[in-house]
Amino acid sequence: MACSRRNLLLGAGAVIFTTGVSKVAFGQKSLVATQDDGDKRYGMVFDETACIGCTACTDACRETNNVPEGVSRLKIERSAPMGEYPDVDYTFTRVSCQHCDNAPCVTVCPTGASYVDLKTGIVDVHGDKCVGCGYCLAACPYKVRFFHPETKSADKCNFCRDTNLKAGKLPACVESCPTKALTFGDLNDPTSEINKVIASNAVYRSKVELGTEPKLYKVADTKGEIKR
Amino acid sequence: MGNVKLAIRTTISFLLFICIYGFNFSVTAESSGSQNIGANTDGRHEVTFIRDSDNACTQCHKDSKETRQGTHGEKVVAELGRDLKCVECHNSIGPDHRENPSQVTKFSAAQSQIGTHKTLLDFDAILKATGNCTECHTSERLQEKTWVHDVHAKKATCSSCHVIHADGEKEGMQALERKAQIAQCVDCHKDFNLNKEGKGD
Repeated sequence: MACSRRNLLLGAGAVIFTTGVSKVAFGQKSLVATQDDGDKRYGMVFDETACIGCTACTDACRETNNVPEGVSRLKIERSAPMGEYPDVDYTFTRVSCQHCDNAPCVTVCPTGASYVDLKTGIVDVHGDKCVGCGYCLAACPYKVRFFHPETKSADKCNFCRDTNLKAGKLPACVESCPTKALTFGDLNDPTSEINKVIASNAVYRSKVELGTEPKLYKVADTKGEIKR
Repeated sequence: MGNVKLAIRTTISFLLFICIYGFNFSVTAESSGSQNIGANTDGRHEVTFIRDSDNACTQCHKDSKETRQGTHGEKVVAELGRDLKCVECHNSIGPDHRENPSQVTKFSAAQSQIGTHKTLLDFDAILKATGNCTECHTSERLQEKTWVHDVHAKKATCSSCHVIHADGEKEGMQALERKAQIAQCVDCHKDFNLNKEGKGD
Protein backbone atom coordinates (compact mmCIF):
# COMPACT_ATOMS: atom_id res chain seq x y z
CA MET A 1 0.00 0.00 0.00
CA ALA A 2 2.72 2.45 1.00
CA CYS A 3 4.63 1.88 -2.21
CA SER A 4 1.79 1.68 -4.70
CA ARG A 5 2.40 2.98 -8.20
CA ARG A 6 -0.16 5.74 -7.64
CA ASN A 7 1.64 7.08 -4.61
CA LEU A 8 4.96 7.00 -6.33
CA LEU A 9 3.65 9.05 -9.23
CA LEU A 10 1.98 11.52 -6.90
CA GLY A 11 5.17 11.90 -4.94
CA ALA A 12 7.22 12.45 -8.05
CA GLY A 13 4.75 15.04 -9.25
CA ALA A 14 4.96 16.81 -5.92
CA VAL A 15 8.74 16.90 -6.04
CA ILE A 16 8.74 18.35 -9.52
CA PHE A 17 6.04 20.86 -8.59
CA THR A 18 7.75 22.11 -5.45
CA THR A 19 11.23 22.37 -6.95
CA GLY A 20 9.77 24.22 -9.90
CA VAL A 21 8.00 26.68 -7.63
CA SER A 22 10.96 27.17 -5.36
CA LYS A 23 13.08 28.10 -8.35
CA VAL A 24 10.69 30.84 -9.28
CA ALA A 25 9.99 31.87 -5.71
CA PHE A 26 13.60 32.20 -4.62
CA GLY A 27 14.96 33.34 -7.98
CA GLN A 28 17.33 30.41 -8.20
CA LYS A 29 19.44 30.34 -11.29
CA SER A 30 18.89 27.78 -13.98
CA LEU A 31 21.77 25.72 -15.28
CA VAL A 32 22.18 28.16 -18.14
CA ALA A 33 22.47 31.17 -15.92
CA THR A 34 24.97 29.72 -13.46
CA GLN A 35 27.65 31.48 -15.43
CA ASP A 36 26.20 34.74 -14.21
CA ASP A 37 28.11 34.00 -11.03
CA GLY A 38 31.34 34.93 -12.74
CA ASP A 39 32.82 38.38 -12.34
CA LYS A 40 32.32 39.06 -15.99
CA ARG A 41 30.24 37.68 -18.81
CA TYR A 42 31.82 38.85 -22.01
CA GLY A 43 29.74 39.15 -25.12
CA MET A 44 29.81 40.94 -28.43
CA VAL A 45 27.47 42.85 -30.69
CA PHE A 46 27.99 42.73 -34.43
CA ASP A 47 26.22 45.55 -36.22
CA GLU A 48 25.35 44.30 -39.71
CA THR A 49 24.16 47.76 -40.69
CA ALA A 50 27.62 49.19 -40.03
CA CYS A 51 29.75 46.38 -41.49
CA ILE A 52 31.22 47.20 -44.90
CA GLY A 53 32.67 43.75 -45.52
CA CYS A 54 36.25 44.97 -45.70
CA THR A 55 37.50 41.97 -43.65
CA ALA A 56 40.03 44.04 -41.76
CA CYS A 57 38.81 42.12 -38.69
CA THR A 58 39.66 38.70 -40.10
CA ASP A 59 43.16 39.85 -40.94
CA ALA A 60 43.66 41.42 -37.54
CA CYS A 61 42.48 38.20 -35.87
CA ARG A 62 44.82 36.14 -37.98
CA GLU A 63 47.81 38.23 -37.01
CA THR A 64 47.02 38.65 -33.35
CA ASN A 65 46.17 35.04 -32.64
CA ASN A 66 48.57 33.44 -35.07
CA VAL A 67 45.89 31.74 -37.13
CA PRO A 68 47.42 30.18 -40.26
CA GLU A 69 45.99 30.45 -43.76
CA GLY A 70 43.38 27.88 -44.64
CA VAL A 71 41.60 28.08 -41.30
CA SER A 72 39.90 31.02 -39.65
CA ARG A 73 38.50 32.00 -36.29
CA LEU A 74 36.41 34.70 -37.84
CA LYS A 75 34.73 34.96 -41.21
CA ILE A 76 32.66 37.70 -42.75
CA GLU A 77 30.00 36.16 -44.91
CA ARG A 78 28.79 38.21 -47.86
CA SER A 79 25.36 37.81 -49.39
CA ALA A 80 24.64 37.50 -53.09
CA PRO A 81 24.30 40.84 -54.90
CA MET A 82 20.91 42.48 -54.51
CA GLY A 83 19.56 44.95 -57.04
CA GLU A 84 20.68 46.33 -60.37
CA TYR A 85 23.64 48.54 -61.22
CA PRO A 86 24.26 51.21 -59.94
CA ASP A 87 22.19 50.26 -56.91
CA VAL A 88 23.66 46.87 -56.08
CA ASP A 89 23.83 46.04 -52.41
CA TYR A 90 25.16 43.29 -50.19
CA THR A 91 24.70 42.26 -46.59
CA PHE A 92 27.44 40.97 -44.35
CA THR A 93 27.36 38.85 -41.27
CA ARG A 94 29.89 37.54 -38.83
CA VAL A 95 30.61 33.84 -38.48
CA SER A 96 32.59 33.13 -35.32
CA CYS A 97 32.25 31.52 -31.89
CA GLN A 98 29.06 32.65 -30.19
CA HIS A 99 30.42 31.94 -26.71
CA CYS A 100 27.31 30.05 -25.68
CA ASP A 101 26.43 30.05 -22.00
CA ASN A 102 25.13 26.56 -22.61
CA ALA A 103 27.80 25.43 -25.04
CA PRO A 104 27.27 22.07 -26.77
CA CYS A 105 30.98 21.83 -27.59
CA VAL A 106 31.76 21.89 -23.87
CA THR A 107 29.05 19.36 -23.00
CA VAL A 108 30.27 16.81 -25.51
CA CYS A 109 34.03 17.15 -24.93
CA PRO A 110 35.22 13.85 -23.43
CA THR A 111 38.45 15.22 -21.98
CA GLY A 112 37.35 18.56 -20.60
CA ALA A 113 39.49 20.39 -23.11
CA SER A 114 36.55 22.54 -24.15
CA TYR A 115 35.41 24.65 -21.26
CA VAL A 116 33.62 27.83 -20.30
CA ASP A 117 35.81 30.11 -18.26
CA LEU A 118 33.57 30.92 -15.31
CA LYS A 119 35.25 34.23 -14.58
CA THR A 120 34.64 35.65 -18.03
CA GLY A 121 32.04 33.44 -19.70
CA ILE A 122 34.47 32.89 -22.56
CA VAL A 123 34.35 29.47 -24.21
CA ASP A 124 37.90 28.26 -24.66
CA VAL A 125 40.00 25.17 -25.35
CA HIS A 126 42.81 23.65 -23.28
CA GLY A 127 45.06 22.76 -26.18
CA ASP A 128 47.02 20.20 -24.19
CA LYS A 129 43.89 18.34 -23.12
CA CYS A 130 42.43 18.12 -26.61
CA VAL A 131 42.76 14.67 -28.16
CA GLY A 132 41.48 15.74 -31.55
CA CYS A 133 38.36 13.60 -31.58
CA GLY A 134 36.43 16.31 -33.37
CA TYR A 135 33.29 15.83 -31.30
CA CYS A 136 33.11 19.56 -30.56
CA LEU A 137 33.44 20.41 -34.24
CA ALA A 138 30.42 18.22 -34.93
CA ALA A 139 28.42 19.44 -31.96
CA CYS A 140 28.78 23.15 -32.65
CA PRO A 141 25.57 24.36 -34.31
CA TYR A 142 27.40 27.42 -35.64
CA LYS A 143 30.19 25.43 -37.33
CA VAL A 144 32.94 27.74 -36.15
CA ARG A 145 35.43 25.25 -34.73
CA PHE A 146 38.40 23.87 -36.61
CA PHE A 147 41.59 21.93 -36.00
CA HIS A 148 44.60 24.20 -35.77
CA PRO A 149 47.06 22.86 -38.38
CA GLU A 150 50.05 23.49 -36.11
CA THR A 151 48.85 22.61 -32.62
CA LYS A 152 46.50 19.89 -33.94
CA SER A 153 43.97 20.81 -31.27
CA ALA A 154 40.48 22.20 -31.68
CA ASP A 155 40.58 25.97 -32.05
CA LYS A 156 38.19 28.90 -32.31
CA CYS A 157 37.65 32.50 -31.27
CA ASN A 158 38.28 33.14 -27.59
CA PHE A 159 37.79 36.91 -27.70
CA CYS A 160 41.60 37.24 -27.87
CA ARG A 161 41.65 36.01 -24.29
CA ASP A 162 45.33 35.08 -24.27
CA THR A 163 46.48 37.89 -26.56
CA ASN A 164 44.76 41.27 -26.67
CA LEU A 165 42.52 40.87 -23.61
CA LYS A 166 45.49 39.73 -21.57
CA ALA A 167 47.32 42.86 -22.67
CA GLY A 168 44.37 44.98 -21.54
CA LYS A 169 43.21 45.74 -25.05
CA LEU A 170 39.98 45.06 -26.89
CA PRO A 171 39.81 41.99 -29.16
CA ALA A 172 41.73 42.50 -32.40
CA CYS A 173 38.61 42.49 -34.56
CA VAL A 174 37.00 45.22 -32.48
CA GLU A 175 40.15 47.32 -32.56
CA SER A 176 40.59 47.03 -36.31
CA CYS A 177 37.01 47.69 -37.41
CA PRO A 178 36.93 51.03 -39.28
CA THR A 179 33.16 51.47 -38.93
CA LYS A 180 32.88 50.40 -35.29
CA ALA A 181 30.51 47.61 -36.20
CA LEU A 182 31.71 45.59 -33.21
CA THR A 183 31.03 46.23 -29.56
CA PHE A 184 32.67 44.05 -26.95
CA GLY A 185 32.01 44.11 -23.26
CA ASP A 186 30.63 42.71 -20.05
CA LEU A 187 27.00 41.64 -20.26
CA ASN A 188 26.85 41.48 -16.45
CA ASP A 189 27.57 45.17 -16.15
CA PRO A 190 24.37 47.13 -16.78
CA THR A 191 26.32 50.30 -17.54
CA SER A 192 28.63 48.71 -20.13
CA GLU A 193 28.66 49.93 -23.72
CA ILE A 194 27.53 46.53 -25.00
CA ASN A 195 24.39 46.61 -22.86
CA LYS A 196 23.62 50.10 -24.13
CA VAL A 197 23.96 48.94 -27.72
CA ILE A 198 21.76 45.90 -27.07
CA ALA A 199 19.16 48.06 -25.34
CA SER A 200 19.01 50.66 -28.11
CA ASN A 201 18.92 48.31 -31.12
CA ALA A 202 16.74 45.47 -32.35
CA VAL A 203 19.19 42.63 -31.88
CA TYR A 204 18.99 38.92 -32.64
CA ARG A 205 21.09 35.90 -31.90
CA SER A 206 21.63 32.91 -34.15
CA LYS A 207 19.72 29.69 -33.46
CA VAL A 208 18.43 30.68 -30.02
CA GLU A 209 15.79 27.99 -30.33
CA LEU A 210 18.52 25.42 -29.68
CA GLY A 211 18.91 26.73 -26.16
CA THR A 212 22.63 27.32 -26.47
CA GLU A 213 22.31 30.87 -25.13
CA PRO A 214 24.84 32.48 -27.45
CA LYS A 215 26.51 35.73 -26.41
CA LEU A 216 27.08 37.07 -29.92
CA TYR A 217 24.33 39.55 -30.60
CA LYS A 218 23.66 40.94 -34.05
CA VAL A 219 21.97 44.09 -35.23
CA ALA A 220 20.10 42.92 -38.32
CA ASP A 221 20.64 44.63 -41.62
CA THR A 222 17.49 46.32 -42.86
CA LYS A 223 17.88 44.83 -46.32
CA GLY A 224 17.82 41.19 -47.29
CA GLU A 225 17.11 38.20 -45.14
CA ILE A 226 18.45 37.59 -41.66
CA LYS A 227 20.86 34.68 -41.79
CA ARG A 228 20.20 32.65 -38.69
CA MET B 1 84.86 95.10 -108.14
CA GLY B 2 85.62 91.88 -109.92
CA ASN B 3 86.72 90.42 -106.63
CA VAL B 4 83.38 91.29 -105.06
CA LYS B 5 81.47 89.59 -107.88
CA LEU B 6 83.66 86.56 -107.50
CA ALA B 7 83.03 86.49 -103.77
CA ILE B 8 79.23 86.68 -104.29
CA ARG B 9 79.44 83.93 -106.87
CA THR B 10 81.48 81.72 -104.57
CA THR B 11 79.06 82.34 -101.69
CA ILE B 12 76.03 81.50 -103.83
CA SER B 13 77.57 78.32 -105.13
CA PHE B 14 78.60 77.39 -101.63
CA LEU B 15 75.06 77.92 -100.32
CA LEU B 16 73.69 75.91 -103.25
CA PHE B 17 76.07 73.14 -102.42
CA ILE B 18 74.95 73.13 -98.79
CA CYS B 19 71.30 73.08 -99.84
CA ILE B 20 71.79 70.16 -102.19
CA TYR B 21 73.84 68.32 -99.62
CA GLY B 22 71.20 68.91 -96.94
CA PHE B 23 68.39 67.77 -99.23
CA ASN B 24 70.33 64.70 -100.12
CA PHE B 25 70.80 63.92 -96.45
CA SER B 26 67.09 64.27 -95.65
CA VAL B 27 66.15 62.06 -98.58
CA THR B 28 68.44 59.29 -97.40
CA ALA B 29 67.06 59.60 -93.89
CA GLU B 30 63.50 59.38 -95.16
CA SER B 31 64.18 56.44 -97.40
CA SER B 32 65.87 54.51 -94.64
CA GLY B 33 62.83 55.23 -92.42
CA SER B 34 60.34 54.23 -95.06
CA GLN B 35 62.20 51.02 -95.63
CA ASN B 36 61.36 50.01 -92.11
CA ILE B 37 57.70 50.86 -92.44
CA GLY B 38 56.86 49.83 -95.99
CA ALA B 39 58.92 46.74 -96.53
CA ASN B 40 55.78 44.94 -97.65
CA THR B 41 54.34 44.00 -101.08
CA ASP B 42 55.66 45.51 -104.25
CA GLY B 43 57.94 48.11 -102.78
CA ARG B 44 55.52 50.98 -103.38
CA HIS B 45 55.71 53.77 -100.91
CA GLU B 46 52.92 53.45 -98.39
CA VAL B 47 51.17 56.65 -97.46
CA THR B 48 49.87 56.93 -93.93
CA PHE B 49 48.17 59.77 -92.09
CA ILE B 50 50.48 61.40 -89.65
CA ARG B 51 48.06 64.02 -88.44
CA ASP B 52 47.56 63.47 -84.74
CA SER B 53 44.31 64.75 -83.30
CA ASP B 54 45.93 64.72 -79.88
CA ASN B 55 48.63 67.07 -81.13
CA ALA B 56 46.94 70.17 -79.77
CA CYS B 57 46.54 68.55 -76.36
CA THR B 58 50.05 67.21 -76.05
CA GLN B 59 51.53 70.63 -76.79
CA CYS B 60 50.75 71.51 -73.19
CA HIS B 61 49.91 68.20 -71.51
CA LYS B 62 53.22 66.76 -72.53
CA ASP B 63 53.39 63.66 -70.38
CA SER B 64 49.76 62.69 -70.32
CA LYS B 65 49.89 60.70 -73.52
CA GLU B 66 52.87 58.74 -72.24
CA THR B 67 51.65 58.09 -68.73
CA ARG B 68 48.34 56.81 -70.06
CA GLN B 69 50.11 53.82 -71.60
CA GLY B 70 50.30 52.01 -68.28
CA THR B 71 46.56 51.57 -67.94
CA HIS B 72 45.07 52.53 -71.28
CA GLY B 73 47.79 51.58 -73.72
CA GLU B 74 48.33 48.24 -75.42
CA LYS B 75 45.29 46.57 -73.90
CA VAL B 76 43.02 49.22 -75.39
CA VAL B 77 44.55 48.79 -78.82
CA ALA B 78 44.13 45.03 -78.53
CA GLU B 79 40.48 45.42 -77.58
CA LEU B 80 39.36 48.32 -79.76
CA GLY B 81 41.79 47.88 -82.62
CA ARG B 82 42.88 51.48 -82.29
CA ASP B 83 44.36 53.84 -79.78
CA LEU B 84 42.33 56.11 -77.55
CA LYS B 85 42.30 59.81 -78.24
CA CYS B 86 42.27 62.42 -75.51
CA VAL B 87 38.81 63.67 -76.37
CA GLU B 88 37.22 60.25 -76.08
CA CYS B 89 37.42 60.62 -72.33
CA HIS B 90 38.07 64.31 -71.83
CA ASN B 91 35.25 65.75 -73.90
CA SER B 92 33.56 69.18 -73.83
CA ILE B 93 36.85 70.85 -74.58
CA GLY B 94 35.94 74.24 -75.97
CA PRO B 95 38.15 76.87 -77.59
CA ASP B 96 38.34 78.77 -74.32
CA HIS B 97 39.39 75.63 -72.47
CA ARG B 98 42.46 77.29 -71.06
CA GLU B 99 40.42 80.03 -69.48
CA ASN B 100 37.61 77.86 -68.22
CA PRO B 101 38.77 74.29 -67.77
CA SER B 102 35.80 73.31 -65.63
CA GLN B 103 33.88 72.37 -68.78
CA VAL B 104 36.33 69.62 -69.57
CA THR B 105 35.45 66.17 -68.32
CA LYS B 106 38.07 65.51 -65.72
CA PHE B 107 38.68 62.49 -63.58
CA SER B 108 39.55 63.18 -60.01
CA ALA B 109 38.97 61.57 -56.65
CA ALA B 110 35.56 62.35 -55.20
CA GLN B 111 33.03 60.65 -52.99
CA SER B 112 29.42 61.03 -51.96
CA GLN B 113 29.93 60.80 -48.21
CA ILE B 114 31.62 63.55 -46.32
CA GLY B 115 34.99 62.77 -44.78
CA THR B 116 37.52 65.05 -43.24
CA HIS B 117 39.24 66.22 -46.40
CA LYS B 118 38.03 64.52 -49.59
CA THR B 119 36.08 66.17 -52.42
CA LEU B 120 32.32 65.75 -52.12
CA LEU B 121 30.01 65.12 -55.08
CA ASP B 122 26.40 64.08 -55.37
CA PHE B 123 25.29 60.75 -56.86
CA ASP B 124 24.48 62.23 -60.27
CA ALA B 125 27.81 63.96 -60.60
CA ILE B 126 29.65 60.77 -59.68
CA LEU B 127 27.66 58.70 -62.19
CA LYS B 128 28.42 61.29 -64.83
CA ALA B 129 32.12 61.12 -64.07
CA THR B 130 32.23 57.33 -64.09
CA GLY B 131 30.03 57.13 -67.18
CA ASN B 132 33.04 57.49 -69.46
CA CYS B 133 34.70 54.53 -67.78
CA THR B 134 31.67 52.26 -67.59
CA GLU B 135 31.20 52.41 -71.34
CA CYS B 136 34.06 49.96 -71.66
CA HIS B 137 34.34 48.76 -68.08
CA THR B 138 30.76 47.56 -67.99
CA SER B 139 28.99 46.88 -64.72
CA GLU B 140 29.07 43.14 -65.44
CA ARG B 141 32.82 43.19 -65.92
CA LEU B 142 33.33 45.28 -62.83
CA GLN B 143 31.19 42.97 -60.72
CA GLU B 144 33.16 40.02 -62.01
CA LYS B 145 36.39 41.63 -60.84
CA THR B 146 35.18 42.49 -57.37
CA TRP B 147 31.95 43.20 -55.54
CA VAL B 148 33.51 46.40 -54.21
CA HIS B 149 32.77 48.07 -57.55
CA ASP B 150 29.06 47.46 -57.02
CA VAL B 151 28.80 49.17 -53.67
CA HIS B 152 30.80 52.19 -54.78
CA ALA B 153 29.10 52.71 -58.13
CA LYS B 154 27.29 55.82 -56.93
CA LYS B 155 29.55 56.65 -54.06
CA ALA B 156 33.03 57.20 -55.47
CA THR B 157 34.62 58.08 -58.78
CA CYS B 158 36.93 55.54 -60.42
CA SER B 159 39.91 57.78 -59.79
CA SER B 160 39.27 57.67 -56.06
CA CYS B 161 41.01 54.31 -56.13
CA HIS B 162 42.52 53.92 -59.61
CA VAL B 163 45.26 55.86 -61.39
CA ILE B 164 43.90 56.26 -64.90
CA HIS B 165 47.07 57.79 -66.37
CA ALA B 166 49.37 55.27 -64.72
CA ASP B 167 52.97 55.40 -65.79
CA GLY B 168 54.05 51.99 -67.06
CA GLU B 169 53.51 49.79 -64.03
CA LYS B 170 50.07 49.52 -62.48
CA GLU B 171 49.38 52.09 -59.84
CA GLY B 172 46.67 52.75 -57.31
CA MET B 173 44.43 49.92 -56.16
CA GLN B 174 45.62 47.40 -58.73
CA ALA B 175 49.23 47.68 -57.63
CA LEU B 176 48.42 46.88 -54.01
CA GLU B 177 48.50 43.58 -52.18
CA ARG B 178 45.25 42.31 -50.67
CA LYS B 179 46.19 43.58 -47.24
CA ALA B 180 47.03 47.02 -48.52
CA GLN B 181 43.74 47.08 -50.42
CA ILE B 182 41.89 46.43 -47.19
CA ALA B 183 43.86 49.26 -45.64
CA GLN B 184 42.37 51.51 -48.33
CA CYS B 185 38.84 50.56 -47.22
CA VAL B 186 39.79 51.27 -43.65
CA ASP B 187 41.33 54.64 -44.51
CA CYS B 188 38.20 56.07 -46.10
CA HIS B 189 35.61 54.50 -43.85
CA LYS B 190 37.50 55.45 -40.72
CA ASP B 191 37.59 58.96 -42.08
CA PHE B 192 33.78 59.09 -42.21
CA ASN B 193 33.64 58.13 -38.56
CA LEU B 194 36.22 60.71 -37.61
CA ASN B 195 34.17 63.31 -39.37
CA LYS B 196 30.96 62.21 -37.63
CA GLU B 197 32.70 62.45 -34.30
CA GLY B 198 33.97 65.90 -35.19
CA LYS B 199 37.58 64.87 -34.90
CA GLY B 200 38.44 65.94 -38.42
CA ASP B 201 40.60 68.96 -39.02
